[in-house]
Amino acid sequence: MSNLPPHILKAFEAVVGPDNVSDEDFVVNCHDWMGLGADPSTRTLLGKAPAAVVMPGSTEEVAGVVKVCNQYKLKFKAHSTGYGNYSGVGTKGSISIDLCRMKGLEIDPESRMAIIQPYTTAGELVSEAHKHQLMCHIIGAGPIHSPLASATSFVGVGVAGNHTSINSRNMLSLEWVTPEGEIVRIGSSGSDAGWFTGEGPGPGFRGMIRGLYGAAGGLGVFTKIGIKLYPWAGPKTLEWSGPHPYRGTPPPENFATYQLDWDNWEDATKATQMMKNSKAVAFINRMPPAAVGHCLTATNREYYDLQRTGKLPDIATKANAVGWSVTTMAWTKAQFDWNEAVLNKILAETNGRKMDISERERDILTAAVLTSHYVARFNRMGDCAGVSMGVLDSINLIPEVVKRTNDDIGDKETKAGGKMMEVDTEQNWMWLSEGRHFWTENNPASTRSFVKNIVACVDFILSSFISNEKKPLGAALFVHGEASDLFGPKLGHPNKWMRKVKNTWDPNNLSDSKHFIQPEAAKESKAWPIAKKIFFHPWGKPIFRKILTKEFGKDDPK
Amino acid sequence: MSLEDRIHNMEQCNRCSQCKFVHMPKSQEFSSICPSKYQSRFHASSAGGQVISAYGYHNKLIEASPKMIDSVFACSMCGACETMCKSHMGDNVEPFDTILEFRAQLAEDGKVPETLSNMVKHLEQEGAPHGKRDERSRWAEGLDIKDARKETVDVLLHIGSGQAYSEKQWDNLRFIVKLLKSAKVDFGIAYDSESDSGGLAYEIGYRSVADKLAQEWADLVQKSQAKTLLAISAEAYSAFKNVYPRLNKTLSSVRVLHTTEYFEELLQQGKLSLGMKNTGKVAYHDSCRLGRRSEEYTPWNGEYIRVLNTMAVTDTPRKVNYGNDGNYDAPRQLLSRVDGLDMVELERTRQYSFCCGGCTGVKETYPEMADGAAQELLREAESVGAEVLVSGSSCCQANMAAAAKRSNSSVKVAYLFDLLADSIQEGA
Repeated sequence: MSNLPPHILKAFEAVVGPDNVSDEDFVVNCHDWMGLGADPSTRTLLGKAPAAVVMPGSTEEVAGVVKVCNQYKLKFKAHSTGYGNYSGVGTKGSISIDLCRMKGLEIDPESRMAIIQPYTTAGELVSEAHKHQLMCHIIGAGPIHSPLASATSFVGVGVAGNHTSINSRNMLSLEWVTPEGEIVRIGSSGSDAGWFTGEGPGPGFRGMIRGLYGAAGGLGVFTKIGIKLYPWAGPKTLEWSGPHPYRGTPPPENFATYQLDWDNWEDATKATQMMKNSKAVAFINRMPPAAVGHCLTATNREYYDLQRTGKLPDIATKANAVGWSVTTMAWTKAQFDWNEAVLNKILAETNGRKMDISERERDILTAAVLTSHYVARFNRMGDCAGVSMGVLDSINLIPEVVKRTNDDIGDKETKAGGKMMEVDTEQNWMWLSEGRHFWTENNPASTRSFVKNIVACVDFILSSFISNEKKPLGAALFVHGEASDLFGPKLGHPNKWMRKVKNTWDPNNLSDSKHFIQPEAAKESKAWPIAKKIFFHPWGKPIFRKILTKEFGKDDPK
Repeated sequence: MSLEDRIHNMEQCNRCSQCKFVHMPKSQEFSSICPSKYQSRFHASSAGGQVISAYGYHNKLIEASPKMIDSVFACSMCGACETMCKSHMGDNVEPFDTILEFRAQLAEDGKVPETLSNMVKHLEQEGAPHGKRDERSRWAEGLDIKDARKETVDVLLHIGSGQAYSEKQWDNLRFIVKLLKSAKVDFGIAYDSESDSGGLAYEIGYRSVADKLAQEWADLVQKSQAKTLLAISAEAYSAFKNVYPRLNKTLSSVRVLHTTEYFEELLQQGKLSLGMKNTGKVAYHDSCRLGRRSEEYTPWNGEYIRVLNTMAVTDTPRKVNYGNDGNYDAPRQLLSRVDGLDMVELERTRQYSFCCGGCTGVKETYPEMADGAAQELLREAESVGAEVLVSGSSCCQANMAAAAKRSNSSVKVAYLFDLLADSIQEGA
């Protein structure tokens, strides 16, 4: 049990009802579990469990909970579907505001939008949207994430982005409980004019509170948003083929899925621009070959057996090092034929080709592109994950990004001091976004069970930030939390602006800002300019790795 | 196997929450897959949450508070979490196996709700969670069924505790006997020597009780020289296929079939036929014990090793269960043979079926949980226009029928053989 005094628990219970509050250890521990690598550690329970989990059922109850937190000066953090506990509470003794009772979902087909609450999942949203010949954006985490969370509080990038943009731009009007407990509606809903825009006629400061990266729980609680939906030419219910978990989606009528391949990223980039300009291809996604292999297999053992015996299909090997999984979408046979003709012409002009894939592989790739369902299989490769810089910028940068990744990986593949995943160490996931943009992030699989591996991965991730700082490659995201003060000064000072916003809206610093920004820069960030010169100098690297090894090895990982 | 052996798998849980949701739902209304989480709402009651609790308990970071014990045992062990987890994580996590070990540890530590521990005591003493041993075969009085303890039989029936002691279910049992006789099947029962399969004791966590019950039954089956073990209860069927291998009990001398499978065989062989039945729209509910939990379990005693610097793989190949090989088709084929029967499918079917919440002592210990899950299924049946919701499990049928009565649902709940009662005829 937490040390929360009974009268405070009673105060929460008065707002949400006694069944919706718990300070039991077994309940709060679930909000302390490190599911993914937001907080790299050799531990799974981080030792900073919230003091209580509170489950409000309405915006008014959220505001009530936040006011109780303010009354007793308790930090709090919103929790929607809690995918990976990625943005879990960062401070021991906080209140985790679990929004699982808020599942509102309303489709407005005329306006091609939906109005959703935090616990509506992308899988639910897309299923309901399909019934209206619409679809939503689904981020890489897959159908079980919260679109509201990704739209308000994170970057919101995802596989289908070429057709469905990114959730940071898909967010329309929103309802917000400020860090002090005031309910504010931003955009059209602020004037009771519907949910169709995040800017006026009501208050229009959507950009300020979400920015490019998102509020990451550091700016109160978002309780309802309007979100854009996009045209969908497929059926009202997706058809599935194959046995679980090899289920795939046969391309619907007038859809086609291909794995495309080029000899080099220069040609591939040229083709990408042509695909974008022609609009012949709706969905464009790149999974690294090892990730494709994991999508196609049900267990690690199955993948490994195929890998070591050389029996992986080509699309899961380096034969597919330079390429895209694409799906075309058309409303008519004529449009389908036009898409095919244009795509074939683009391939001919850029030395590209369609790789041979079986029906099963095609269906699984289609499911991955249309629903993002199998991206999460990447988590099987290791047991924790880190993310490199993350770049959202012009397609023209693709060749340079891949080259940079390989440079950043450097010697970690083979030499002493590090051991990254032996297969396809370059793990650039890429997908296109609207306009001329693409997104990439490099997710090196890593494990707590092999200290040298996690050290190598952390080394790589930091190296990627440093190289991006020296020679910026587009807008680098994931510069948040503690990293914002380390890397912000060389990347346009987002940390300064984030801090101004934070301190303006949360003067008591109660909305847990571990993953957004702290009210004041940490002392370490002041030492960082010197420290990085030492630790990332070729002579300093071994020392740095030793420090990391000691840190990650101290918990005696199994 | 112990909780310690599950540490690797527990640490692989990335808290993605797939264990709570159907693999690509068809609607928001019926997107949940976990009856426990659906109702209690705290993550702790989901499979992922139970894995975290097990981890904390094993590492002495948390204690077994009464609420934690309730959270663990208010779960019907339907196995949906495991099937869903494998959508992404293969055999890395397998939360169901961890939950089994968690329960075994809690049982060893005396941390089991009293209602359940009393059921297990009764199992130990009387071979059933309720009722007296010498009353187990009262249902069969006057039916002139061969005594498999004294005579050899081709087919040995296992009745199951639920139906053997519930007078409401006796007509169904007598109907099954009538059908077997009509089809001239050489069958028998073990009368009062039949015990519970041991599945219930195993799932609650009492391994030694489960072991004893399973061994007794396995010995009896072997002595009977039967070629077929015919399970009437879905729970026993699941235990024979999925729990016995975990207990290293072999039933290899017999084929294990559920009545739905066996009667489908008899129909295919022309030994029975089905006539007309005007029922209105019928939806079939895939009971977890007949479905994903009846998939044959193959023991594996290997270890996970690291390869390619990061990946955990099993050191030897193993058969992984995905819930695909449950008994899904036979009940549907049986129903489809009835002229005039209008079948509709629920949104959540086969390995993606939503559990009615009645099993593993949940109905007895947490009746509101069992009712809530059943009400959800009734709503699902209503949403597809079903007038009748059919189950091949008498336990599910009883739970859902009681729920339908409580909520005055427009959906009638029927046991599959009850539905077919006046439709099945002798001969082709």
